[in-house]
Amino acid sequence: MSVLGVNNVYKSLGKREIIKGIDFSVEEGEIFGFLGPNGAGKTTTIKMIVGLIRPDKGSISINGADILKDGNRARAKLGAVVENPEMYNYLSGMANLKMIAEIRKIPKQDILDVVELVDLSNRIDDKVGKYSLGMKQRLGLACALLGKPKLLILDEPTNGLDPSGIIDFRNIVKNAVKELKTSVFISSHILSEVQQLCTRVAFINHGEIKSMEDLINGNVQQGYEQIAIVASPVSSIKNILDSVGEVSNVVQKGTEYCAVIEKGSTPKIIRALVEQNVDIYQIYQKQNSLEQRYMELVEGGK
Amino acid sequence: MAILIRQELYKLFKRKKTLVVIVGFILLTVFLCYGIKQNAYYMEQYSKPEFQIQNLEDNIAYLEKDMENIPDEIKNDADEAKLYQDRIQNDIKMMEEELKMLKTRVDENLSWKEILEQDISEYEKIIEENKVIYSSGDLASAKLELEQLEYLQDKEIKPQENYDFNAFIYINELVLQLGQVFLAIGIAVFAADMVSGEWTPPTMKLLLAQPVSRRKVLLSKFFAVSIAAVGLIILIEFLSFILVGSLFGFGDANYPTAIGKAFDWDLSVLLEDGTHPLELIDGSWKIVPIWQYTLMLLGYQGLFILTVTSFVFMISSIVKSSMVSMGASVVSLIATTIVFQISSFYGLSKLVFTTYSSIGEIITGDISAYLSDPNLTAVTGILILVGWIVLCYILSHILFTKRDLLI
Repeated sequence: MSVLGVNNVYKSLGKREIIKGIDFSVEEGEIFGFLGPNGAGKTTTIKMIVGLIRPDKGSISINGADILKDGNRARAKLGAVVENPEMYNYLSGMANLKMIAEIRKIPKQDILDVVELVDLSNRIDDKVGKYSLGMKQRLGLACALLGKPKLLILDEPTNGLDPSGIIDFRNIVKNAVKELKTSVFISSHILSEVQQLCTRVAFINHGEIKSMEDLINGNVQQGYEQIAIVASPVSSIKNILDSVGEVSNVVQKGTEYCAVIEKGSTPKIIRALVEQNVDIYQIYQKQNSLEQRYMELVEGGK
Repeated sequence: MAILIRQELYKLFKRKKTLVVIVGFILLTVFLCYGIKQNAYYMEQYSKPEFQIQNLEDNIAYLEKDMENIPDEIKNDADEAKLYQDRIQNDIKMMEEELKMLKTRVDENLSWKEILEQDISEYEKIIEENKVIYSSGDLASAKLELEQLEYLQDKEIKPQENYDFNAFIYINELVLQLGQVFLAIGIAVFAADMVSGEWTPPTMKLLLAQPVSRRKVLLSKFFAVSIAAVGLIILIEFLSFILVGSLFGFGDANYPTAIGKAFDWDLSVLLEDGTHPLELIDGSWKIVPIWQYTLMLLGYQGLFILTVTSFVFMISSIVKSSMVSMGASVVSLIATTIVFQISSFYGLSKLVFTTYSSIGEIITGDISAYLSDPNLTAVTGILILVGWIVLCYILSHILFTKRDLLI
């Protein structure tokens, strides 16, 4: 059973259709990235998952419970930080957490544990109004993690954080996943964030999911690779490469030749070049990064 | 649910604004108390027998001078002049009688019981003599007066003067004055951000991401703000009652008060404008001790506070900014209060809750005379207020549970 199932969801605001049939699921233990430019429909999707907005069509379930028909059971398994974490500024961090703990009937020890986890122990009794943005983000995460959720939703979680804050945040999420075995759904327009955390990623733009990719070590897994070659004589390289069947799309970039090749065909190409007496100085595989894929899908889609 | 209500109360009392409103209300109470006391003091000055005697003597002297100066138009008409002088003579005679009575009272140093006895026989005489001349309403009013005096005599309670000051007089006056506009404004400021305050900043997201239904969130907010508003106002009034009582005395808790007066059109009389006068119905009232009246007053005030709170709560659920909801609440409450006091709206005004801010008049029944509507009774008032509460809450509920939260 999926931890989160979003089934063919549509939503219009006024006359404009914001979400045009989104369909995906997040499995247990997965860190799922939701990538897209500003205004693509990420936050609207998240608000529908949390139950703040009703979809016009389609259904959403969390851990098997429908968010509209069985909202309380669905939200019991959900921890979410939607956009900026908003807490009661006139209350202390602890008072904020205690309120959630009361509603969810969570023992006191769990509050202390989660405060420890987000490293707020020495400021937890201060009023939230006095917190820095980074501390608020961490408190928001603590609020979301308090109920030991099966699904953790983070919407632009590192917005406005400084680099060390981002690293801290990432570690907290990774620890949480390890300790609580939570599935995480992260929406972002910051690629490096997703790249370093996620195991699967969906690209969204104009209210539609354009593509879904698995990430291994932050890279998109595909049937082809890109290589770059520096060799001489320069003039003959293109012809030789073109003659190899597994190669396509050879481009010269300065002293380098780039080519898209079928996966695992690098030795064959090297052999072909050597046979033609070409001196190879460098040959390396270009990482097929998320950024490239993002540009292809999002920018190219315009 | 109990947890949610407690949390809402906790949040409410943690807000600075709540403290400001409470302190403001206490100061207002102290201020009004001072005003009521001061008023009683001035009244006493004017009501002293010495002052009244002086006043009557001055008036008589003035009228005697008038007797001499017959206006020029009627100087030559003997009949007219005679009529004029007779009339003044009559006035002087009445004043002299009153003066005599006052003087005997001062000279004889009558006890209040003897004065009460005199007053009772005076009223009995008036009723007997004027049975035919008086309108039914005036006769009923005189009978009511007599009944109250007899009650006093029966229970051996010293009649209050209009300048007396004690805790019961104070609290009744306080409820009257608060009802005019202070309660509405106070509640508007107090309750206006109960729902809207969670949009700016949007803490509602945190609350609604928890496993609680929106229905319960709204209901707990409504209970919390109602408990706080009714509780605080009545508590502060009660404490000030105790304080005033221990400083200036409580007065007699059994003092008679007439409630439930009913009125009806006197169809036997046609007024110049073609309508009939609204007259008090004989025997429609009931005399109750003032402690009972005061309890009814506070109970009814509680209901009125609840109604205003529901109205403000509804605005708070519609509007998404606490500043706007506060402004809208204050303005709409003041506007309805003023608009429905204009006579041309009288027909509608009995359906509007702000009309029932004069709580004392509803319990005594005087509201019928005030709004020229014999059908307006305390029960109608209660039904209309309850209707408003239900209506406002249903609207809030529909808005809050159905809307998309695009914060």
